[in-house]
Amino acid sequence: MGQLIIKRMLLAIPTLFVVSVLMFLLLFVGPNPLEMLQQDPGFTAEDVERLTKLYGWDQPVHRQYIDWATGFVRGDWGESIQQQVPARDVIMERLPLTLLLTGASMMFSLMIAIPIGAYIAINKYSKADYFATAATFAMMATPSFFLALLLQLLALQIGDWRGGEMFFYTAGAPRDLTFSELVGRLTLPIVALSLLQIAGWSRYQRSQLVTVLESEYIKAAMAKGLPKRHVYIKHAMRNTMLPIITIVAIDLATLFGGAVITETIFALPGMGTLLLDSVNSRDVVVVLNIVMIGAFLMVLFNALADVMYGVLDPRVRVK
Amino acid sequence: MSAGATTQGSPFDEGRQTPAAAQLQRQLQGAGAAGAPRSRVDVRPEVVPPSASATGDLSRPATPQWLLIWRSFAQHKGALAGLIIVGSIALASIFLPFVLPWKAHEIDLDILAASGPSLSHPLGTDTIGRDVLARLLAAGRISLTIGFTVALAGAAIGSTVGVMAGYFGGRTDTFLMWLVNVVLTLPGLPLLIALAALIASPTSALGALFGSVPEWMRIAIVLVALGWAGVSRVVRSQVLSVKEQEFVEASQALGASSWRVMFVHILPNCLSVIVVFTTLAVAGAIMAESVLSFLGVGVNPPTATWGNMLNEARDLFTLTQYWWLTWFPALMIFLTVLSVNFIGDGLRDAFDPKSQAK
Repeated sequence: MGQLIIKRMLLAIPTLFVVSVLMFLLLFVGPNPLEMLQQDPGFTAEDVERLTKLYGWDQPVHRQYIDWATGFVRGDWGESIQQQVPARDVIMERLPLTLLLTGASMMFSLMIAIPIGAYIAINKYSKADYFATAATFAMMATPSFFLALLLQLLALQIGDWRGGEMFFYTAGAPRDLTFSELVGRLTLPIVALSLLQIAGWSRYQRSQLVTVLESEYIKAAMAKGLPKRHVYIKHAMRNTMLPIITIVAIDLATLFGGAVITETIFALPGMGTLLLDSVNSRDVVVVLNIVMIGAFLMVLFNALADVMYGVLDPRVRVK
Repeated sequence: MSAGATTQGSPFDEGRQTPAAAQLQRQLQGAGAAGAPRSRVDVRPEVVPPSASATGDLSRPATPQWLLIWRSFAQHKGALAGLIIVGSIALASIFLPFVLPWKAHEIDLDILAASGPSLSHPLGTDTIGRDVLARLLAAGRISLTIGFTVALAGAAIGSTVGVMAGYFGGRTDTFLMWLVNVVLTLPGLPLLIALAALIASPTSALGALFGSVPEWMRIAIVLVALGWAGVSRVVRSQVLSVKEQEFVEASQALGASSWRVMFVHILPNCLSVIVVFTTLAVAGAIMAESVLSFLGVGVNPPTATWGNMLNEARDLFTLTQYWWLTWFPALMIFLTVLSVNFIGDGLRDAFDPKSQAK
């Protein structure tokens, strides 16, 4: 088991390396921040010189990469060009909210999607099944930002009689808010972010469970006279968990992407809005670090999914 | 990506084309190109019904495969409806602007503000008095072009990689699949946003490289760069099973080059997965473009796309007061993506012999 974890983690290192080189080349060397700063009247010649020294823009590319990469690993993520404070502080201030949003949304989606998927798999070709299929197709075709806009509209209607602002995140870091305030303000964003996942995952759970339910051992368990409930939960559902874990790990990318959209629409001070602001103000240092954190999380979750596989499925461990 | 568009010719002289072009061409012609002429080596008993297969009644001409697939596809009502809807949206976007009296960029000087649907403007005007219908159609051109370009180019690159990985195996396979995994590990939307902004900025290396390319194509390039990898895996696994069949061995024994075996003999047998994947990719690309445009890093105004029309209408005032500015673009995205997904579903069923039995 430990061996499996170590092996999988070692495999992740070259991937992370290549991803970081790619992104460094594209983002950091690409936009030539020097030229940009020279054109920006907000920066004096001394500023430009100081920043050039600071980021080593006068150095050759590989030198720049090594400096940046070792800095990144050590936790020194450079300085935000626009705000002129450490990029790490800027990002760390925004990260908790995004993690909270995506984490809560993942839990919420799973809690809704798995039972729905199981129910329509067991009651295949029932009215509920057809309705769920139609809803899934509709959900997949609706732009997520439009859904979020509609939810916001709905909140406005509710807000009228619930007395205003409880649904809208106005300012402050999550730690400054009480738990109930946080729940109120994040409800709509979480729902908006979860709808697409619920549609996709319930569909997936359905197709997996339908296949499992047709297998011989389920028939045997049924024939033996075990209570249906027991067969579904103890025997069938357990075998659908593996593929679900994979799909959840893959969809985490979508979830983070969705968080960018959701944060923009609900004006939440998270990583997504920070990314867009930084892109618009050409703050490449912050952009590079955010994208890198994204890549890091992706690699981590993929590795985690593989390890979970080993934990849940003894066959994987033996190989 | 331009290779396929410029190459014209019959499906039989594909040996002289570049592999990607031949493949793209086959995709453009649909499944028909893989039909009857090759049926003797093209062993596909699972798709061809017994009466028409090589071992069956030889006196009757075999039903062309594309016809079988079409019949099965036409039974899928949702897919057929989807095809009609996407077809009408595409035809309307292409031809209606020539006929209609309104132009997408023209401001109605009598109105100069948002006005609801009326006789003079069937779908209303936007906040500065431009006709919404004309803008929707202009946007349709851009969005559909991006959708199809990205899907086709992505399929061409992705399936080439997949075929090579599956056919050569060994180190090539390890390397290519590792590359595919790296691309699939990239953080999608955040990186898309960063790249889209980069490629639009003239001071960046990427921007300088693609500076002369039209705006929609820059977005398409970014979407292809991050979107080609998905199909590679599926194609590879298909190739792994196809390459074990006798007709591959036969053509190798006859001295066909690797390229010929890969792209003339093996690839046509992977067409079903590629076609289904490509169809679904069209929907994905249209959605991705609208998201980028909505976030303000995609295609920028005054060029209209469904995404940036929604962006212009996203404040709560417009949302509550001028409903036609939000609902119509959203409806266009919804209808297009829904229809394309249905088409993909229908194609999957049509290609899958197991579901034909039902």
